Amino acid sequence: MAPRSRAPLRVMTTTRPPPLLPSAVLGTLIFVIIEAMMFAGLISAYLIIQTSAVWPPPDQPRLPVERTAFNTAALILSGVLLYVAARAYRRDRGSARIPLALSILLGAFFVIFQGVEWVALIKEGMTLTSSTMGSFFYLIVGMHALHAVVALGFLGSSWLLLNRRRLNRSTFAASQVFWYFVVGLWPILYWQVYL
Amino acid sequence: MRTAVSGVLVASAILASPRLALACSVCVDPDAANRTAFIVTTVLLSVLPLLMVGGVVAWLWRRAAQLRVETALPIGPVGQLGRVSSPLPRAGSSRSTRSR
Repeated sequence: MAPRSRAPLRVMTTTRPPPLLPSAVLGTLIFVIIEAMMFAGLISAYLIIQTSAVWPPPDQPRLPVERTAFNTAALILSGVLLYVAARAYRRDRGSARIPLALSILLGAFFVIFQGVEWVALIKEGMTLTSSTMGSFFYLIVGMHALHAVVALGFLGSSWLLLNRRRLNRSTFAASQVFWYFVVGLWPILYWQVYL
Repeated sequence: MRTAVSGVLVASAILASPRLALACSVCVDPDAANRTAFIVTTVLLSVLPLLMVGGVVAWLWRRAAQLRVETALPIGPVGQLGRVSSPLPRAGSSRSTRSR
């Protein structure tokens, strides 16, 4: 066997530059941009239909503006609590559990309350096929509810990982981006559809 | 002669051209509210993707500039730039494998 050199081994270390953005966050951002364009298309079609037809259509129930305003406040509070959870996570990961749980609960309350309102509207005669207004209402609000449910699923999974101390920053950040999109989109939909 | 022929050809083309169809639903809708709605939504759908993608790109650009400043190596006296580390034990030390 060849004798080992007695000279100290000099190892060159090169550090990779840190990524500008975690891949999970960039992927979620691209997804959010695509979904925002989808909602922009739906809102555009709704605006044009409103001007070219008798609006609101006759014999359709009035939308629950006040109750949905309360629901909107609950959703916005959920977004604020998620921001508080994110700040707490940076300081001490364990302290983010309670605000994150509250954020998820408020988000779930929003989705369930919207479902209750839907049942009431269906009983009053506004269905997907009853009128153009019904079609657009259930399509636009339904798509938002679907996004809310999926985003809540991601937040719930983040909470479970946080409890097991296995939540990493990029996963949590991606969940946050999705929920902020759901929360930020709803006031625009409320303004256009309900008011 | 050439100018006269060109002029005759151009005049003939203009006289023979068909009337404009005026089929655009944005420009010639008789209802003003409809026209406004079409124009507003056209602007929205055109500008929104530019704003969103442009915003993300601008944010990434600023973040890259910030990281370049934060990760720039300090310039020290000659000989200290590119300092290396030696994770392996030196020959003859107690951690050397030759003593086993």
